[in-house]
Amino acid sequence: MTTTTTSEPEALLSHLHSADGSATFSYAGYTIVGAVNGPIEAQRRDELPEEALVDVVVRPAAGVGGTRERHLEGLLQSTLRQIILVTNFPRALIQITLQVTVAPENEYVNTKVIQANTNLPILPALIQTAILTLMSAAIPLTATLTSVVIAAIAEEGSTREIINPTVREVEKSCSLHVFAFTSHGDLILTQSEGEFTMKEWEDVLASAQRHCCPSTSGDVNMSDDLASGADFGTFTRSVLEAKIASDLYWK
Amino acid sequence: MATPKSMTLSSTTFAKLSPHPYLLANLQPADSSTTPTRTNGRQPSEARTPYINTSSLSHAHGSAVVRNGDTTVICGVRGETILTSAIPNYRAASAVDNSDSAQDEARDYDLLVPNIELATGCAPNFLPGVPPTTLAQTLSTRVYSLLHSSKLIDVNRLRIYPEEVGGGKSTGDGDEKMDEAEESDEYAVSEDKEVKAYWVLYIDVLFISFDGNPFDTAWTAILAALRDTKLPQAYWDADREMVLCKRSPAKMSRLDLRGLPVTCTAAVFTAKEKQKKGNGSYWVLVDPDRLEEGLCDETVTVVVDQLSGGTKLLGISKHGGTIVGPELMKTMVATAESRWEQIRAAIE
Amino acid sequence: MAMQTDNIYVLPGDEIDPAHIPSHPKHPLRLGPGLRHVPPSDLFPTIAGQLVTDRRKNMIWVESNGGRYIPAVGDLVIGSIHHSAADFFYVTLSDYTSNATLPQLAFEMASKKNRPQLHSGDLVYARVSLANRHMDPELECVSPSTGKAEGLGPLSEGMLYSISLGMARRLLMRKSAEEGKVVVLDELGSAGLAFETAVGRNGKMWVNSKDMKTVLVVGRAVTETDEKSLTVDQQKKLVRKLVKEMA
Repeated sequence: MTTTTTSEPEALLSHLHSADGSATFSYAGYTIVGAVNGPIEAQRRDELPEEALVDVVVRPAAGVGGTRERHLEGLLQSTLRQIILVTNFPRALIQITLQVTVAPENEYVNTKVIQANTNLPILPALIQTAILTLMSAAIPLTATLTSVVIAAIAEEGSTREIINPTVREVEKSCSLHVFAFTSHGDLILTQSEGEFTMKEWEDVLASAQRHCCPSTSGDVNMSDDLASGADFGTFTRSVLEAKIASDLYWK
Repeated sequence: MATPKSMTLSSTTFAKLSPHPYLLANLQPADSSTTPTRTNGRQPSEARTPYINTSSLSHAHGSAVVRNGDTTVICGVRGETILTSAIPNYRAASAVDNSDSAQDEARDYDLLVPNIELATGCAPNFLPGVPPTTLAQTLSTRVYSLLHSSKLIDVNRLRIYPEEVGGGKSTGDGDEKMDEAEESDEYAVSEDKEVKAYWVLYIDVLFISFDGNPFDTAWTAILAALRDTKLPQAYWDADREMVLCKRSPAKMSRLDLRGLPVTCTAAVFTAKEKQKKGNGSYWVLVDPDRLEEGLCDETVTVVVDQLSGGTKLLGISKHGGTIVGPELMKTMVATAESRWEQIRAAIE
Repeated sequence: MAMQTDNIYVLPGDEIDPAHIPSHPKHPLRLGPGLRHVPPSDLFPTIAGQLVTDRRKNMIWVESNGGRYIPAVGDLVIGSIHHSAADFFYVTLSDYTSNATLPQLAFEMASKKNRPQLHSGDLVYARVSLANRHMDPELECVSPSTGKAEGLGPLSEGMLYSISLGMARRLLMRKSAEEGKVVVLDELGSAGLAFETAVGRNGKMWVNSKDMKTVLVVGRAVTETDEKSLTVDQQKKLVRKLVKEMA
């Protein structure tokens, strides 16, 4: 059984004027502002002779970034580098800054504040913001990405999958999974933690695939998920089309 | 003086000049009679044999040295106590302890503090005495996440209670009894027994030499060190309002670990040096060394535990490429299962 | 005239319907910005934008607005001198990118003895003569074939405005009023203002006039048209309003 939360993703593109590209993305309690600058001159000691250096900076909602942010940056950097045409800009730097402005940290369970204590739930929102921002900056890409987080909750002998779970559902879950797919349907990133079996992982992967790339999975019965508006692929496309149409209003 | 017979390069020069074609030439030999091997002489799915030595540090509560090829790591575990009154966000558990809010004291009060130090001159790319590199910070985060998500350490073992009335000042025999009473009456007395303090475990990992696969080696060291860890028996002394430990070494007791999670990392090496679309040939290199890590974009880590019979997965992490899909992940899990046997044999 | 295949929007990595790719019996297919050819015959967009084809010239490209200026040979740009060395001026085309080089002899009538004296911060209107991803771009202020400046060279006085790359392209169109739908400059001219402008493909517009007020009005009219995405009628209205305020 698969259930989804029904909040709509929202995005605002190219609203920062000094950055080459920018986007604000809100979904599932997170709001993230992204900015891309590039291709710009890289520092001499960092530059790569054959390709652009992709630098990702993640800043948390409060305080300065710590080890957790370094880990997220590492994951995002290695993922985005795969879809940015880095060989087009040798010796250059493409800098992606993602500032979390709202995080769903203030949920109360039994009068105890639940801290989002795992890195995973924020990843899809970060990936989605990064993709929108890169497209706003017209950085050449080979593909776009869609990503989803799924919690598996054990209930009376069976496991229930929750797409985009709340903080509280994450707390209750026995395993938590993040998947990211390219628009060609390839699995580019997966992070799973908790306790699960190979069979469960494959099931969760299949639901993620259905959710993220409905066209490639060949599954027609997608009305539930599409109706929830949580399908990032369709969402990204509609946001970008509106943006392009308003940019090229004179055409 | 040796005269060169031809203009061929020695293999070490070749490796330094163009590492990617060098590794590719080894994995894809022109002559079909040679079996394809990695530059380190291993088969693609062959991991290095780990060597583990425990209790080598005399002042830590537990320690282990793990050697995995040329990657050597030393891990020390030290326990310190913290009073619940000194924890700012402390909330007594008993009042609201229903199963719905699975309270995770270890995470809430940061009772496990792993730290990974790479700046020891273990490899040329890590300068000694500099602030932690991105890799060190990433490793610390991953170790921290795995320690908590695998629920390796039983929080019960870290709780410190007031001393049982009557049991305190008696002989060793009496203490023995008290121990048992504490174990069996755990739930019966939990109403009036209040946690007064916790053990905090400082888990420090130092890389002595670095030749790839830092996460697996660091985790193996942590696992071995935690298995080796013996904490003294501690109790809360109400009169002096402090935590005291029993002096006798016989009172030291081991941490009971839940399971034996083993990590297995592999890197995916592609025939094409630059990112290109299209399915070229690739190799999944298990337990990559430093040269291989530098040439691979995509890495996979699988955490498995087979202690309770069947294979339990405790984590999957893959990033940096699109080659590993569901099918390859299955073979990765199979590889991890054999790695689990190998690590268990080394650890026990 | 570009053939309009009713607004096709593409995202990076999308499949392009072969029916939209123009096929011409004689001309080879020419790819414009935003497209990537993957041998043997696949064509993928690399940026989000509108797919535009010109069947007569057998061209296809992706039209978008935004991002950073990436130099291409033949582009007219406005740069500011960063510093000068023995034989070259180093010119900034956009912030935080490596400087373009402008040979000191690449000006009309320049010789070893008689070369332009430009200082840090001065503006030049130049053409990109070399753009290569592995090298810094090179500029020239003289036509290599005729040896004439053809309007290029140092820009003295005036004001520099930043505009979007899309606006710069529209202003540079041969028929900017019909194809680009920008009429502000024409309207301001017919309203009796005397001014001169230079538009750089790198998102810069330089305006000069004897009357400082005119400079400000022209700059404001263009930047407002750009930021508020004004239509032809709105542009006319804006110009009327600005001219009235001025008087």
